[in-house]
Amino acid sequence: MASLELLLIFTLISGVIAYLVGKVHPKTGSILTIIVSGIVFASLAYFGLNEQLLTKVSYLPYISFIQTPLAIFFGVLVSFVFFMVSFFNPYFIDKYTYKAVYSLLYLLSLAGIIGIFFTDNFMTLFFFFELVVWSSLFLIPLGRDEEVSVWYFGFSVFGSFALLSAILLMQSVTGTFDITTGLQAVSGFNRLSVFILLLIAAFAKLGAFPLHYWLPKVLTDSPDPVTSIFSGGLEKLGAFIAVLGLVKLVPTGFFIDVMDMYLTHYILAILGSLTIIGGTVMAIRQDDAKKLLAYSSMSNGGYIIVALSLGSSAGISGGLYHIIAHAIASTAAFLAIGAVARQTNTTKMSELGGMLHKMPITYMVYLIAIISMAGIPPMGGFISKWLIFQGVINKGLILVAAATFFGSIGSFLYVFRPLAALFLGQELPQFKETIKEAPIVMLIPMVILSLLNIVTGVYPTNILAYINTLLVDLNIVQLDITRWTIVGTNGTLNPALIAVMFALGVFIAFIIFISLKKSRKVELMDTYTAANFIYTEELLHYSVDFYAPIERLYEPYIHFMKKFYQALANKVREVGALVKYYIFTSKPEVATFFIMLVIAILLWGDLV
Amino acid sequence: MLLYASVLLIVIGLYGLLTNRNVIKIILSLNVLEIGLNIFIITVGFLDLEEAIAPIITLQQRASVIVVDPLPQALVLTAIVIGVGTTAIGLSLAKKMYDKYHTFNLDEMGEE
Amino acid sequence: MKKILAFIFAITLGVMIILSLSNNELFTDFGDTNHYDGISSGYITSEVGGDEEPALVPVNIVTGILVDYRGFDTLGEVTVLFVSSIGVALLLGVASPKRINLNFKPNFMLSVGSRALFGVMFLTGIYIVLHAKTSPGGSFPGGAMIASSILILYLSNDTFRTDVSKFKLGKSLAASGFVLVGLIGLLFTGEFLANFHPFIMDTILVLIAIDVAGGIVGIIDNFLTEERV
Repeated sequence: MASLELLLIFTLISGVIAYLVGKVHPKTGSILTIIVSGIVFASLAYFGLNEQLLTKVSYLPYISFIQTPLAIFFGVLVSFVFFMVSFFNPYFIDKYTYKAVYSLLYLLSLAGIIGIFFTDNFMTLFFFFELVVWSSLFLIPLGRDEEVSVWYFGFSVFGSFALLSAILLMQSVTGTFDITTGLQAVSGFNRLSVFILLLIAAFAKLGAFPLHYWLPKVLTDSPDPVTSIFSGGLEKLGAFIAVLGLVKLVPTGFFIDVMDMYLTHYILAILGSLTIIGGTVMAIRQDDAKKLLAYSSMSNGGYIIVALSLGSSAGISGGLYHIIAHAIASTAAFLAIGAVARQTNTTKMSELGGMLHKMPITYMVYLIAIISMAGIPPMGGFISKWLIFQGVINKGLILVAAATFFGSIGSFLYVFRPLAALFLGQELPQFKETIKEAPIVMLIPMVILSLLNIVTGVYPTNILAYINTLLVDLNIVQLDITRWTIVGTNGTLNPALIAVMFALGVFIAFIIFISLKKSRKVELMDTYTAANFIYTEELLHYSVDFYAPIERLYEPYIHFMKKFYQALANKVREVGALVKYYIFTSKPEVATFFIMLVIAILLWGDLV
Repeated sequence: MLLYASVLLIVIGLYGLLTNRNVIKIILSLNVLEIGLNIFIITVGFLDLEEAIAPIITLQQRASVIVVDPLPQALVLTAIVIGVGTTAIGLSLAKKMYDKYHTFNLDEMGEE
Repeated sequence: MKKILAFIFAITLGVMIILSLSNNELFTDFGDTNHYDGISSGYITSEVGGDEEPALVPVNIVTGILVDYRGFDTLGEVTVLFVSSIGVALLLGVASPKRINLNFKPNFMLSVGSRALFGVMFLTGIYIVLHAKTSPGGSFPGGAMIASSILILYLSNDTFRTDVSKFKLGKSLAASGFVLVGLIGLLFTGEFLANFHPFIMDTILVLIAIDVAGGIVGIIDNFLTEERV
């Protein structure tokens, strides 16, 4: 379908159909989500990349579409994530209480995504933004905890109100709801306000410091496919809003000549660095593999913020590339963890081990994904981090550079822990017999994502070329790329060469592995401690509490944001109780009295 | 004068709301207040002229006719219907209360 | 003591209202209003010398505002009535309804007189509804009048109860019909509740009357039923 409008209507209607079918047979309904999201992705990718999408609107009132490289970039990426994750739906649908609703909400979110990225009207964007917030809100409690969705709702409402105020402020100043012209026409102090409000919305959606509190909770406690959707897809909505605020809106604020950068953007870069540091530090100390990846997702959101706030071609293209690389890598990682969780019913590192022998393909997928997330060649994450480092160093932002390097090294530290804990080590007795490799349909998206991880790392030229056309559209200098190399100011990167060297290294290591004596498989009880054989099957993991010394260093300082938000929640609750106790009592005359008092106070202004 | 009358009705309604503990009387007070409010809104649109007529214009009279403000009247018409709705809900709640406690007095119902 | 305080407070508020209104420049004195400057001027001028076809514009401007210019708000109002009647039905609804036992038996005068009155009231109601374009208040009073004519029968006739449920059906149909008419406007002119044919306004007026009548009858019916023991 080349028409965006038909695509939107098709998604909405098939959502309803999936619901009705799911009422009768849940599994068929969830299979429908695969087909529909596949069609949406295929149409967006095929027609969008050829710039042949039809933006004409003939059925829906008040909605208009526009086809920009930015919209196509985000639309294709997020619909791809939805398509990949949808393969997991049939296998997880049995775990939900409301099976039919899941398919409906899944497709509603997808429809919202199409609307957000491709509209040219800010109010329509807001409408679809809310559609996504509401449908994803009800996806979360299908997992374990309902309180989590309250947190998500609180932050989302905050972000939505900020977005709405930004839109209305822009409209009242410029008189138009059009995104491009409106954002360019805003001037003076109003531009600063619009900027701040848009960025609040972006931070709330991206889960960046200091609005990050919901993200790890949501990513940990939602069902596994929903986690992947959030990390790979919905979080990127925040990145989209951030692009609108940082790139499409004319920069504003105090210009610092020495740094060649606006103060507002510098503050954002600092906040992004804090997000990176916070995410990294928290990820190191997690026991739950899903929670660990959740914090790593947060820290990668920080990278996106830092990159976009730089404003240079290396920075923005690095940020956009990081959006792709992180979406692919984190979706793959969460799907792999989800596959393990489905087979074993736990994601705790201390309860798992030796999955390599049972689920080798999942292991490979996870390995490739975390290599990309840690920014090690030859995966996609390396390219984007290289570009971001280039941009940061060019600007000479020492503190931000320190934070990005810290995050990069920190991610070496933490992403390998789940690998070691879940997949390597000794097999646990309770999983020895029963566990099998994940079903083939679940392996399809994971393998595709892994291949993409490698492709984005070895041959990034096509994507970077597309980002270059996108940069032209945004009036930014293009990145200097040739067929095999990326030219930065501090050097030239040849990803393919690095990949070849890497492959050589792996090959040599493999030869050494083959030629050396075979290692013996050690059973869990085949060891002794304190000069005694052990008789209980305890897991002596080296990956549990591995970083305890480092954790002890910062343990007392990390809870202040948590305390702040808990205290805020308590205060809100107290105010509610106060109002109930003093005003809405069981005596109607008290409420009447207060209403009259308010009226009298209001009238007082007219009298004096 | 009508303005003072409407404000008086509002004051009576408020007094009733402040002093009564009987559910039916509270609902009646609300109705009195509402009537005062409706009259008040109507008076806003009144035009004290000899030639001003009710806002009903036939084809023959089309041009050069002065009418009173029709908008408050339309508003009040809406408000009356909504008042009927709220009163009905209030009364049915009162009936429910009576079924449970066998009294209309809030004091005798106790807490909860 | 409490009553005196309440009295003083209420009087103070009333005095404050009057004082603040008499001091206010924006609030004109009684009878001095100049609404030809405000929103209503648009409604009046389009009535008096507007470009709309004469047949489309009702003679009564209030009806015109209710049904044509602010038709969407009237739809909201109908919805409020609908919701409140549903609320009453939810609050008072019982599993096996039966008419409440009245303390008196309808005597000869009441049963005959009410029938005679019913005809007059019902016809007057219908007359008012059909002339809603000219009469003050549109079709709301007509609807209320039809409802009271039904209720008179209801009081005097024990077996009447079963027929009332049909009225509730009529109410629901009328409310849906309102939306349907609005959608027809959307279909033909691209505007919800567009007034492009004289027939539209007549239909809306009749539908409102049915809605109001059904709503009131339904609410009173709910009050006059109790659970069969």
